[in-house]
Amino acid sequence: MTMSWSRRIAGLVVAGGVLILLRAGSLTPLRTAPDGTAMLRLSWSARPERIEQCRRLSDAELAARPQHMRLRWECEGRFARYLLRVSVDGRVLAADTVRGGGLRSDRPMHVFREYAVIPGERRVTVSLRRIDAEVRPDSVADAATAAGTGAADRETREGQERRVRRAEALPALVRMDSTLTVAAQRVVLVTYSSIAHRFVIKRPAVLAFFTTEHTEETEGHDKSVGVKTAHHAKDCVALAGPPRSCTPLWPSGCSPCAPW
Amino acid sequence: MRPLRAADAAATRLYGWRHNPLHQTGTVAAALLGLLIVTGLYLLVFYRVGAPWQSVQRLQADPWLGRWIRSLHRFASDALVVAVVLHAWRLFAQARAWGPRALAWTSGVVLLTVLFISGWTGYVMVWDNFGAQLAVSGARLFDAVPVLSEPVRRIFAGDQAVPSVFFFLNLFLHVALPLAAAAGLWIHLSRLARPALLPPRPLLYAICGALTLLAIVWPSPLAPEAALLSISSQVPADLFYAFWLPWADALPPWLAWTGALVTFGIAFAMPWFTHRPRTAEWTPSVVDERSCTGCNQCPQDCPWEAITMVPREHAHGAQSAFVARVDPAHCVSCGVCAGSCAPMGVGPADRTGRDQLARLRAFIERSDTLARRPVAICCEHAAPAHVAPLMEHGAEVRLVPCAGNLHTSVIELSLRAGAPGVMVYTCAPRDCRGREGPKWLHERVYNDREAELQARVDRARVATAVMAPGDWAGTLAAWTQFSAQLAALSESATVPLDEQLGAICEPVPLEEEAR
Repeated sequence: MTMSWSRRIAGLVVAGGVLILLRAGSLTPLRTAPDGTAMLRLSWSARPERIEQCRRLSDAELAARPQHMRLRWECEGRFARYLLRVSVDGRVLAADTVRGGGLRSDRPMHVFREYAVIPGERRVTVSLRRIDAEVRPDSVADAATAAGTGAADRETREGQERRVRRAEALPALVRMDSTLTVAAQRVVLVTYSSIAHRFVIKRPAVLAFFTTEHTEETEGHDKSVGVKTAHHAKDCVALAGPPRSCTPLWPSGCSPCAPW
Repeated sequence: MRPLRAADAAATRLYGWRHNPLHQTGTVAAALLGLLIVTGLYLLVFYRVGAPWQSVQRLQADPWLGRWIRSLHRFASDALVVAVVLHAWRLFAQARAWGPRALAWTSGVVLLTVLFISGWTGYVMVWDNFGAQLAVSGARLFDAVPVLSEPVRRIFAGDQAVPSVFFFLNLFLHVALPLAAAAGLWIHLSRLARPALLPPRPLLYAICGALTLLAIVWPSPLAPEAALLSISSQVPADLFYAFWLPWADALPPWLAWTGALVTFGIAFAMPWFTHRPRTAEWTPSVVDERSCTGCNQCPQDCPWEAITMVPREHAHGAQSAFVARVDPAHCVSCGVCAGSCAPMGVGPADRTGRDQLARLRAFIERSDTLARRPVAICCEHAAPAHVAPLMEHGAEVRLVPCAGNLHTSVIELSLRAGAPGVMVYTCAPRDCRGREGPKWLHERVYNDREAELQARVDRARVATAVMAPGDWAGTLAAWTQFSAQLAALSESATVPLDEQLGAICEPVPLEEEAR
């Protein structure tokens, strides 16, 4: 089949058209979110508190057990459930029960939630409150010592381990009440610090929002002293690193150009 | 089928049947896979799992190699999806996706899925805002499956940098999946006797050259780095791989999963939906063991490896120790074996050499047109639209299911019956449903391959040509040339009627053999 020049040119034009279509399909602008949206994102992992009933074994009971099973304190229980409540400007977005992962709910609790919010100044409240009541404070087990018994070291170690686990666990209440200015096309990330036992608002890489009023509340973390702590703050916190240039978005008195 | 034929015709008009890319979508896909591996190996050298976007940015900043090789990798992967989808559409439209071909179809569906997953991992590797969108949407779907207690999306929450191990896993999958695809390709082609892996060189060079030119002249830009605490209102998406993104984000995860699984299930099970009874044109070949001489030709010619030689159970007299046996599960009923068997002892029912001769004899008895007009024996799948115009140009047209199915004795008998000449029109060689019909016909007519056209037949009165949709000019030119050639030959050069014809072409009467 001999090809005429007109067909060759037509073939080249068609091939060029196919290539253009290929490139267009390869780089199609895809709308993934409407303009002017913002998002509240909750994301954390934390170990729920263990609700358990402990009983101290007598020396005789302990001796009757195999060597590797001689724990002074025998505890039975489960991991607590929590009520996660999220509201923006008083409107409740979520009021759900959350629990630890796994079939037995004995794994860390993982939370990942996203809520679309309208950009602007918003009052965001996030709280995580324990639902299950303690059966019995096991601080006795925590503080126990085994003076005079042959298993003193073991019992001390048990107590320490228990205290460490308790220190890592979620408190009975973690609450954040914050008024934020949320910028469009930005995500406000609320996460939980298992060290500070409070919610933390993460700063975006670029100027996104700032806090005008921020209230935190943590309750019942240290049960051995049984105190309720509350922290109130009203400050002007720049949540971004120093911007490359000053923008007029900042209200007076909160200029990021001022020394931090 | 009609849109496919129209597309075929258009592509043949533009590029000729030899280089029609639609005829060789499978080999084009294999060639593009090779191109992806070559360019991918280059990109792999510069990729860093600890700083994915930055490493791609460095590549992109290199105008001499990095930028266009990256673009070529991307465009080749898109072209691969197009080639694979066209390949599937073609085989489905031509009813080549069921029965013995079911394995090729189902493995092809799995290969396409592997290709998509490999493509997704490739885009996530770049970690621009499109890659992040793919990762987040994929994680959202994955989190709907109760496998892991920790949501995968937590990786992309933005509270910390995405760990390098994620990109390492991604890279591993992006490299390992094509290797798995290579193994899958072996299964995909396992039932073919002589699979063609590459398109003809001109077409291969043209495709690679065109994609390279596009990559150099109009390279793919690098999108901004993923910012997990920002919301992109739009991303530059590759719709060949991310066509599902708008739906997946709009639908609940369970519905998106259901849609994906149902689509995969329907595609995978297509051979069972389109299954046809193995009768008439789909009946498998059978061997007449009394005629089989054990010459081993049909197993060699069968394009599907459906025929094997097995020891004959009750050999007596001069019968061969081995006899051909057809595996119906592998036989696609192309009839190529019938054309390969000199004693006419194998073939699908009603399409063996004996059946062809019997039909021709019956036609000769009731009509004298064969004695007056040159015969055009046409593959019935080649270009049905050319048949009527060919008859208007003086051809006595006879159709065969495949040129490879045609027994050369039919050509000889036509000439002996007085036909001035016989032209055999085949389909385009890369578009043959019997895969190797035109090749074997040519070998049997001109190169003495069993069952060859006898040497006593005047080759000047025999010709072969390709009849392709969209190339009526080619069909007509071949016919005109053949007619002129016949006109130049004197009537005296006609093959004399050979009294031995019956002994050569006629099957031995069964009653006679029984005696």
